[in-house]
Amino acid sequence: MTKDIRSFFSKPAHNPAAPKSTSPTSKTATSKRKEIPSPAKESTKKGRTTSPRKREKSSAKHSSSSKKAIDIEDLEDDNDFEVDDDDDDDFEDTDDIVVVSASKKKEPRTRGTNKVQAPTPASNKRARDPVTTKDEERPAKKATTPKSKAKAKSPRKASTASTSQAADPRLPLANQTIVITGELDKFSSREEAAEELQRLGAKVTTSVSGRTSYLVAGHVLEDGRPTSQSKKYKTAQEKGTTILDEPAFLEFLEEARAKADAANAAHAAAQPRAPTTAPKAPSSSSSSSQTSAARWTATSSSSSASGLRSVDEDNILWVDKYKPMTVADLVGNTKAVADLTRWLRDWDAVHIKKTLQIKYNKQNPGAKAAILSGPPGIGKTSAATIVARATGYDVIELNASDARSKKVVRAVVGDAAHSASVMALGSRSEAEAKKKAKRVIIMDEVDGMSSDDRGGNQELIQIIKQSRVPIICICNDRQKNAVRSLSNYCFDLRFARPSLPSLTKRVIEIAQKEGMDAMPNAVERLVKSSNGDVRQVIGLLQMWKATSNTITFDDVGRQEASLKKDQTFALTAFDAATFLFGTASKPASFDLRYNAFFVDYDLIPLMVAENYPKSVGAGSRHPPSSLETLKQLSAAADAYCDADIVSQQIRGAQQWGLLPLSAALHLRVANISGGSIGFPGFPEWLGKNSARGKKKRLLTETAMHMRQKTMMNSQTLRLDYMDALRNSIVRPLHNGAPEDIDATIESMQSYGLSRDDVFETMQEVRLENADPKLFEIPTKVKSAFTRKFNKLGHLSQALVHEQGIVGLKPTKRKKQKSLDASQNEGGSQGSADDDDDDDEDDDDMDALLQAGASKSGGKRAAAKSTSSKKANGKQPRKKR
Amino acid sequence: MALLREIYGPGVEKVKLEHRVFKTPTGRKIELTTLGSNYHIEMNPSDAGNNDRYVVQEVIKEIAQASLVVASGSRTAPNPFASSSSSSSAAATAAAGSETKGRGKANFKVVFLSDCDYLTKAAQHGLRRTMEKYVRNCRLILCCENLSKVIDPLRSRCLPIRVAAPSHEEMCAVLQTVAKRESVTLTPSACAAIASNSQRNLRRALLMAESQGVATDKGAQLQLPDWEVYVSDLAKRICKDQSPAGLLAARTMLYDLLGNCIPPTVIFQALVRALLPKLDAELKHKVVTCAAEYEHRLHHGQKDIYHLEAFVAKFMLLYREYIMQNFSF
Repeated sequence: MTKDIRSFFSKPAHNPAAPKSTSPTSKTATSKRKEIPSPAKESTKKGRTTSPRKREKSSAKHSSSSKKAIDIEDLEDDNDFEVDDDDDDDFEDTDDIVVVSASKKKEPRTRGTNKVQAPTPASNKRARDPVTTKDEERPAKKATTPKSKAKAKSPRKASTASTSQAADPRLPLANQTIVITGELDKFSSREEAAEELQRLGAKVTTSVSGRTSYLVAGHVLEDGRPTSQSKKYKTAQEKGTTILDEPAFLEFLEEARAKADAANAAHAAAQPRAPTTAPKAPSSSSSSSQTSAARWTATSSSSSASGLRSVDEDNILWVDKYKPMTVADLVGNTKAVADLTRWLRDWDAVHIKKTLQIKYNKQNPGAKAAILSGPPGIGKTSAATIVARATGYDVIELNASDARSKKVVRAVVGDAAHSASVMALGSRSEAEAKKKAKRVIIMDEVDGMSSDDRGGNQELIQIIKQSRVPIICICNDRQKNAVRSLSNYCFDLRFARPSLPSLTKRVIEIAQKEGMDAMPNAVERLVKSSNGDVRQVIGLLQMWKATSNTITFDDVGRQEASLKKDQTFALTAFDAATFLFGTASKPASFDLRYNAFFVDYDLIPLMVAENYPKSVGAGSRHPPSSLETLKQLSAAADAYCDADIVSQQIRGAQQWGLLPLSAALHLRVANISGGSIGFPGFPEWLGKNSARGKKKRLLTETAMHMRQKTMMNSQTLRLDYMDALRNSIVRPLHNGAPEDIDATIESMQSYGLSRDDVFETMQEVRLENADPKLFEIPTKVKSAFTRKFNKLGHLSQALVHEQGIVGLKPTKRKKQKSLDASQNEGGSQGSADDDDDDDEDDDDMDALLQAGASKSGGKRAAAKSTSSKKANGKQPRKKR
Repeated sequence: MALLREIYGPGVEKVKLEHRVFKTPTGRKIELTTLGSNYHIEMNPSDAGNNDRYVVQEVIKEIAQASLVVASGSRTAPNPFASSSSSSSAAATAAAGSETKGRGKANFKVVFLSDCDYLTKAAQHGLRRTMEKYVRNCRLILCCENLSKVIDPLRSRCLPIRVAAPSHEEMCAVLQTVAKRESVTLTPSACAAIASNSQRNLRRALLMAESQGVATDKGAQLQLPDWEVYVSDLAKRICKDQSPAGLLAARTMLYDLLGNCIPPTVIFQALVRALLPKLDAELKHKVVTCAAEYEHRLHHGQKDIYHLEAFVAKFMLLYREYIMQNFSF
């Protein structure tokens, strides 16, 4: 059972909204269909090679309604990787670039053979399938849709369709769209049934629309209601979609399977014949059974016609071999590419000649640099290079493999940016010579400017500001801090993943050129599993070629397990945490969740801890304060403590062998709490912990200052002294009278506190319930205090400072003193000198202060002045 | 201090702070501040957190070795190492004072380690050898609040002196003496209130008395330390609302407490103290038992907050259960 991991993160949409197709059309089509026996033979409507038979067929198409053409288009969009404004653009774009020459020629012949070997599914079905009444007209209708589409779109488009989804007799259900609802007895899950259908070439969607061919309805829904109550069922009835109950479905499936088997057998039988047919012409190449020599002729002959280049080197990566060479070769992102082209074309006019003004908008198209962002492997670098070449620029590329420190960027890019081109001198053609002084700098992978490249980004911004040539920056992560600052100076172009159909098409072409037998449904699955990464798919394809020449749906399924594992690791910690908690109705397997834990084993535990109460709240069917919920809550909390104790062993005692146990224990927490959490909250712990660290540092520092006079550590300071200190030191300031300020300063000095101790430590280390007004001291008073403290307290601060760093810089006066002191002391060591020094300083300071207090340790004085000193004074006495 | 004065004379009163910077083998720099005179040094190695092992190994050893130069006598004193378990370090030293003899003639240096129960196990082990090896040059006074956190090998090397916390009566007496000397009037009832609210911590009691004196509205109500007020707020809250949302609210408050450097153990104690009056006898027993259990687990865990939180969750469960049983909600 293969569940796409993403299926856990998204809920299927239940709103079919496509126009319903009219049954009269289907009926006319049906009648016409009889004249043309091949089922999904869609449409090979390409000018030159069209046979008489084909013309007949294309004429038949004219009767199809254009409404249906729209259906088909929607249908294609259905499978896109992401919902994107320019999906349609993507599609059209790929039409333009598709390389069909080789397959075009092959097409007629293939079909001929197939016709003989495999009975057409549609006609067979009509003959054999008495179960459903509407059954007959449905397949017929479907068979005609490609034609209608061909009619609506340009002829070119028609040829595209033939290449990508050419009806392979081995896929009897190709071009059928099927929706499943309810539980099927024969299958353990819908996914399994869906996979079975996909294997036979059908498209399985989640909601019923006008273009749905069948609705497969189990007898009962997952939640126990009869199927007929389901929304899908009702919509299907409304739209007149054929509804298959389970027996009918199984029969239907059986039949299709039989057809597929027959076709496979025929295909296998055809294989041995291949060597003889191959030399004849490239036209036979679609059977993929040609010798490699023939294949090479085929590919190289096609390469000139297409824009794709194939390099005559066997060991080159396919990704390079089939690198797009022209703007038209690019798959997807038409708009971004067009924008980039326009930007580059106008660059000179805008920034050098100043003949053109471009209005500012959010994308900032008038910028001097452009930034392309998007996921890896979708052709950003290729697009930049191609566009640059197409607009007649020379390309200088700097990527992450080059050192890009501030210095290097300045040297390489800076030079290039400010000076005229020398490179273009040896230009090859006249056209190029014209454009010679033009070049563009491509800064690839700017988000990868790492710590080693410190300053590189800032420098880049500087360079962009002064540059006399266009600069194109490329990155994956648009949200990175460094990139964000950069993008303020750039034309912001975002690249999206190309749509599923266009990418599938491209991959099939490549597979065919390499002589591989790629089933469209298999390729589609492969493309899906790579999540739209062109580079990865092509790489996978090449790997595949090393072991096998054919790709079938099941093969991909087998590989998917390993692909999926990679996918788990590609998750962010947030996704992984969501996944870990899962949903009550659909928990993922232990293995998958276990793997999700290792996405980030530092952060995930914190995420679990942060979110489990939420999960318990969401997952419990009981009211929040019921006993059941509380039991669950407490159990989850206990479970987390267990996990935490293991974490301590791992971190504290370096018992890394316990990591798997830790993973399992964290899963247990998620399992006990059991509810889905929506978007997981980011662990507060990190921030709180660093705040705690800071306060602890402040406290320790303050405690250190006080230590000379009182026996204490930071803990007793926090627990016991804090309130008393606040009262005796900060409160008097509220009155603001000079004598209050004096009192404050006096207390501070008797404790050896500095100004920072009061206004940082004491202010910082406060609970939420503290009096918020305590530190709202009138500015006037505060500044008066500061002035006074700095004047008088300077000595005290110096004292603290000196005590901190022994003998830092004794003043002249001090030197004198220490001399005296050492004489008095007679032979005591250096440290003793300083001691005495401090002591005398104390007296000195006291004299200055005229407080008549705090002589030698402040003991005697304590009793006289403010009560704040009582404790201070008493404490030593108590000790005795 | 009194002990040290007995031994060395008034020289020990001249203390200074000293910063020592040294590097761990992993290259991290650690700064440690010590307080000391010519004759003794006082430090709190647990300030260095997880690196206290290096403090013990490097710094103490260094001090122990170097002190020989200063005191060049050759007489070895028969004084044993003293380890005291008490709630006040000052009192510990005072008690040890009675053991001393040989005033002003001792030729060893005294190293006073406070909070030795907060030393990591590794550091305590590091101390074992140091204690014995440098017996000629230095004496160690270890001070701790909780003897059970000191490892056995260390305990066996020490002379344990238990210093009990003062009784309420003793505290009242002290408070009255202080009040008299400061010429502040302190009624016996206020005195008793302070004594009972300070958990027999004399320092806390004195400071509370002082706050009381400074606070403008005299005698109105005894002002408890801010954190204790906060913890009792928390206790009220968790008695009112038992639900996942209530737990999250409690978590926020616990974070605030921990963030303000209130030690988790203290939070546990204060929380249980605040909860107990609200509970029936039957429940008291259970709550105290599980508080003890969670507190124990906390010391073995990594992140304090979640153990406190688990205790709160458990309490919510127990409390709810009890309420539902007895009042049939």
